[in-house]
Amino acid sequence: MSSKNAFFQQFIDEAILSDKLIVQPRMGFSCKESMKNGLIATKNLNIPAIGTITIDSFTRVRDFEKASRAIKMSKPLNGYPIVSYSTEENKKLISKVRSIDFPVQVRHGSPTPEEIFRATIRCGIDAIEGGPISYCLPYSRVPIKESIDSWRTCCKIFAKANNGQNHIESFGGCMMGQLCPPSLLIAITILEAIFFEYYGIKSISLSLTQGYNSQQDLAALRVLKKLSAKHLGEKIKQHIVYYTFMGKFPKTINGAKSIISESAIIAKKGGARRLIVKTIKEAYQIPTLEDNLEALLLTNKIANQNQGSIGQEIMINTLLEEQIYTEAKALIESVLNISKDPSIAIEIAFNKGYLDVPFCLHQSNRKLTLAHIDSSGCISWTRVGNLQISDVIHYNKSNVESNLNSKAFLRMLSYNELKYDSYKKEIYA
Amino acid sequence: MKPLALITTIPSDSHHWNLIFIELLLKEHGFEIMNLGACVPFEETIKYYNTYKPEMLVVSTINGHGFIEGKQLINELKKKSTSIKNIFIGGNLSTNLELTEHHAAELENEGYTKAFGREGDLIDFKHRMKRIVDRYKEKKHLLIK
Repeated sequence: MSSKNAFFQQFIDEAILSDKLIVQPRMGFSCKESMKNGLIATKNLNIPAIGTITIDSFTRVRDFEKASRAIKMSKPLNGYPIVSYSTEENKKLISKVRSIDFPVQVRHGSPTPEEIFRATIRCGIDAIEGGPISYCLPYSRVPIKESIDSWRTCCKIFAKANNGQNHIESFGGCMMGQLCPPSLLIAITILEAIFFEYYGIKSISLSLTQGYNSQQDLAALRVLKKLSAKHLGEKIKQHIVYYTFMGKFPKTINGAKSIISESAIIAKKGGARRLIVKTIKEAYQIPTLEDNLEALLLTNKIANQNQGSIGQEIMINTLLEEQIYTEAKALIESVLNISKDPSIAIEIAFNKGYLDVPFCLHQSNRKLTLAHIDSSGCISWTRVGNLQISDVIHYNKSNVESNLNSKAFLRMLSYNELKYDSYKKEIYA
Repeated sequence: MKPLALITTIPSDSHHWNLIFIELLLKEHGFEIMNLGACVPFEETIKYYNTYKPEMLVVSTINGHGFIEGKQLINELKKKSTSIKNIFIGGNLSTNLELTEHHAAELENEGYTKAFGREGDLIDFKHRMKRIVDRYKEKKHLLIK
């Protein structure tokens, strides 16, 4: 059953047929004209790309008044305040831009996004992202239960609005990903996807972010693909979205280009269908429109214009894959065993520490786990707390930094900056 | 006994890693820590400050709104606290790195003991942490005597 308005999923279906990697920027302007220009410029690249409307941080925390005041006074915000603009204005923004060959997704970061969902539905956009865990724990002080309740409502209204064809992407494979072992990221994004499906969403994407070791990154993507196929219903349309590294970024142009290119290669080789890019200015400033366009062209060239073999230099590591698969499977099952209702299961899982994100200071997170980057650049467990994986986990004791200090911590966060900036030239040029 | 340091950020800032780094750094310098996490409303910082009376308050922010909300925070704090001392702010004070000196001066003018945002500021901060710990110990020592 296809809907007239399911641009996003139809575009994905076509990319699957032609085996293209779709590239997508982060982009949000508070001025309507700039936002429209950004979308048009992305569309005019004539590559497999999806338009992004990123929402501002006042709207994210439901301070609609401040957002409205800012646009009245023409004060710039860090994104597009979709709730403060009228439905007519929002419709005008996407008219003649959004089309079957150029879908648009709303991106926000809100743990309680009812108003954002409603505004999105009213103007006819069919794709959004986030999740009850991934937009609660890292970005807010809202208790997890409140976020779960809000997202349940959002899923229901979004599903009803377009006959179940509307698309939601789970951000779960990215949250705190700089120092979170991939098995937990995989478990969280799959649990969010199960949550979406349970409340009526039939078009879903699952996410994962680039880490520090390309073999571990590739292994994680392959595991996510296997496990999501297992856990989501047959009728669910699903794909994987990959994110270029989101932490401390290389400062040199060669370094930045190398890490961005590598993310495109891993995405393609690992079977992701979509890539959210970073730009070469990432280490310095909020990217301009031009920076974004350049990053889209670069990643498209790497992933879609290389004939034949791509990423031969990145080995498939079956040992790593098995390890990640076993851990992720155990994590997911420990949560699903709590209750058939994913709302209840997720809430209790955080209470018990069956889900517990390293370094996350949120009040609903138990904070009993710890992770580190080992000598090969893989993100590994230091302590697993109450996570139900102690039977299956593989520790490499010699690599564990027993005493975490500020210097070692900063070195871990700067791992990719040091690694890629040390390259004398662009490695995928 | 160790001196207490309160770590906070501004309401719009959802970044985590900087807060954890500061926590580790303060611990290593001999502080007891209270870390309020991301996106802290002004009232919450003030409530904790007035209740626990820390030896030091650190506002760590990297989203570029420090020069706006950092000012609001110190002004609220001045209004609602009887005595304030050792109040630091640091990180990316604005989205424009070239204006760091300017914004740091403004923030100090509003009442921060010191505003950090430049390369090399960490050394200065380390000296100040050490002095606060030493003074605290001296004070405790005298009280015991």
